[in-house]
Amino acid sequence: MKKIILNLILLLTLTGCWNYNELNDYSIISGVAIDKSEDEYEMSVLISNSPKSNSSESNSSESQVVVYSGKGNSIFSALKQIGLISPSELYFGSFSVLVISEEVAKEGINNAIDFFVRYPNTRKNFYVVLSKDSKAKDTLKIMTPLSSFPSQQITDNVKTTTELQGIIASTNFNDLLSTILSDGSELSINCIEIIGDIEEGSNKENIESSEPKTYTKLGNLGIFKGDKLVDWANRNESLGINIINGATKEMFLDIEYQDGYVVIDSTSFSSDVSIELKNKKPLVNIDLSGEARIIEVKGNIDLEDSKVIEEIQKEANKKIKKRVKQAINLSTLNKTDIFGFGQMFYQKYPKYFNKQKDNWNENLGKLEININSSLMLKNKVSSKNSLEEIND
Amino acid sequence: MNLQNSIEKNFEMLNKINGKSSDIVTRIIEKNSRKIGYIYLESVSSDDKISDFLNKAIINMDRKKTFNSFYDLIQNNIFNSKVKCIYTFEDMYYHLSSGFTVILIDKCDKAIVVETRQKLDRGVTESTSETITRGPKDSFTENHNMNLGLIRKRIKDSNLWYEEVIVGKRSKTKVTVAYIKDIVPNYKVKKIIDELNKINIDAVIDTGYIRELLEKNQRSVFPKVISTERPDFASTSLLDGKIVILVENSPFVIILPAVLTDFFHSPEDNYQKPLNVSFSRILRAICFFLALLTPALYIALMTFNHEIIPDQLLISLAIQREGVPFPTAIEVLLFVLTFEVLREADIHSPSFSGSAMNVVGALILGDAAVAAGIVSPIVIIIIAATSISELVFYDVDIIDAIREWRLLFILAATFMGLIGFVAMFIIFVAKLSSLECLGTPYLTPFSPLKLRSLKDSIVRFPRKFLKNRPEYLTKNLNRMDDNYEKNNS
Repeated sequence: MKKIILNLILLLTLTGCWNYNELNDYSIISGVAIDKSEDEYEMSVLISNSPKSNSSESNSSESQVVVYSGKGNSIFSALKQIGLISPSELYFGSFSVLVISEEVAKEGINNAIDFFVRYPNTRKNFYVVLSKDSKAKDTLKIMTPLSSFPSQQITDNVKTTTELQGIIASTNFNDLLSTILSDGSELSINCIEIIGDIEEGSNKENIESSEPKTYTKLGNLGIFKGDKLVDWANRNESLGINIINGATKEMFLDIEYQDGYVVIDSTSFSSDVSIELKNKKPLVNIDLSGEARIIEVKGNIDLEDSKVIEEIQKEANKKIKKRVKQAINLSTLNKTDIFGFGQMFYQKYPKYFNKQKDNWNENLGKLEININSSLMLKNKVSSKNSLEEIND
Repeated sequence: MNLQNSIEKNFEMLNKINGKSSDIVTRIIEKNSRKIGYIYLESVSSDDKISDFLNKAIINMDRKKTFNSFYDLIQNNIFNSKVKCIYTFEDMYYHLSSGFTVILIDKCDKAIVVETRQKLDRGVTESTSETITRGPKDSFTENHNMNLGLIRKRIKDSNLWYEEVIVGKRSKTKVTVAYIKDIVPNYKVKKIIDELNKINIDAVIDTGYIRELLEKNQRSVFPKVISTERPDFASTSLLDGKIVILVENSPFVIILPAVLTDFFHSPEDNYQKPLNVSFSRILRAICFFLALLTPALYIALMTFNHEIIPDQLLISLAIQREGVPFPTAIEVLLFVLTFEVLREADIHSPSFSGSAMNVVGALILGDAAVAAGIVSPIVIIIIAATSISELVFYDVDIIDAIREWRLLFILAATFMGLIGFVAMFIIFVAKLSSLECLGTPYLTPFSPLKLRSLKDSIVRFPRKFLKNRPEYLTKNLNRMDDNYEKNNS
């Protein structure tokens, strides 16, 4: 017994505290941006646990953020440059967003993200966004009044708008990896834009004003071929892509009808993509369904008439089909299968797909695609007809 | 040493063994040309009783021929219900200390003892250590007979048996084992009485002595008996099939065997609605783990396993810790210790200094320590949550047990993070399951699993479902009267 106790004491004291690290010895990184400057990578990190310069202020949970960047031929050498600046060890365990600049994306993101795959201290569920028309580093600098630090603003924005708006689809690192690594599907990633002046946005005054001069805004999808960014989708195409990918749960459509318009809002939208081989010819069926309600009406429209409702419903379905077709057109134009149809064929008909694999993207245009949209209009608004008409 | 047949010699002998203590009163009366002497200790006997009943009886006594001897005459003429005959000095001194008066008669080598006890206790008062909002308010006192009576009046059953053992070479303390004959298995009572008889000690001043001596076989900080001063709680325990030990001069009785879940119960649980009771018990079970594990978990997460903490919380914690000069473990230990010091000071301090303590505790230690940057606010919250959680328990022993195991958990987490924490938890569970009291494992009814007893452990079912006594305590399970329905139909 004594020997066991002695061994235990030795085991505890002589082995030391493996992996011991106090939390305040870390610089906690909450966002990472990758840019290209000349031939080198420029990596920027957003450190969000720096204590305020004047600690007398009572609200100590509010942080001041710092962006450090370093340059190098590889991401890791850039990281080591940052290590020279930062006073404490960089902690990658909890960063939530990776911003990749348009320039890097056009050259191919494989080299840029390789580090994050191999580095053991990163969590793999951070979001990935592209920066459009500005340096990725700058998006990390924009201070916003509603979140305590910029990267949080971006992640919150991605998380909530994915559910509420059709055009945004969140991409986290795991999804990104599995899409890149699998045959027959290509990437599409949302971009983030800076509206306003960058210098002003990184200042503290930007938070204090009630109407911030500078802010970041989520934008349309960038579509990839392999690991390279090839094109930007516009708003309508983005919606179409997300509808096919099943990322759209809620969306709205404005439908011109007679001399006015009707806005419908769907909160339970779903898509079902199925594939089959018919006479050795590939066939894709896209079934879209859901319920929608009328949320805004303008003009002289008689909503009590069931024929009118039916017509509006027809128009809505027509419009959805149009968006989907636009998205497919974009895909065939760029010869990149962002919907992952190839992956589906691979799963269902592996022999067929393996034969077609090499020129799958080239033959995308030959794919027969049936779109079937059956959005049901359920009119549950309090006043059936528009106010204008009631006043008459 | 036997009594001698001369009164004076006996008096002399008594003075010799007692060193002429100042409270010994002796008197010799002559009656019918026979000498009668009596002795009592004025510190424990009531002078009034002796004058009113004893003196009068002896002086007014008429000699009648019906009795064989003068001795029998006196014995049968005393107005007292408790009259005994003794033969030795040891007996005599025991009775004198208990408040009896000894009557010695000339030319007789035996003595009569008569109960003339003075009331030396405070009477039945409200319980102070186990206060409840609803239910009986009386509590045990220092008077042994009164304590027995407080149970007896609640269970008017001939099967309620009291067995008395005298323990302590010098104190000669009465220890009574109370149990219900047809519920409690005989071997358990026998085992306890054997243990009590084996005790070799000079004095038993309080129940704590007996408890310590009974628990000596297994070392553990966890209490294996329940201590209570509530007669209602002792009675319900008896009816469940437990054994109650009452010690003379102690207002606390011990109930055994106890299992861990007993400490999540409160005496009040039987008087409240079952749903509310279940809620409180679950709350206490949660508090048990909170009080035990929170500081250790905090240390493990803060110094080893940061990846578990959500992003925003991590940043907020890191900012709070900024500028604190001590490692997290030292910081936590410092404040755990501070709270224990406060508690220790609070228990023993008279009530007038309580408010001063509050100011020191709450303001100076909490607020000022954070403002001075010695500790981070989150540590104050952790310690506060831990301390409040441990105070929900009725039993002081379980609080002490939690306190000690908490330190072990903190040490394990300090050296090895979550791995150490989990390892210590395994040791903790192993230790708990190794404990037993009177053959009842400590983790019953969970391990070994007793499904029927679970109805009244962590939750309490309504009384109509509690038809059986706990099966780990007794084989006589049925609480209800078998013939009840027959008689009423």
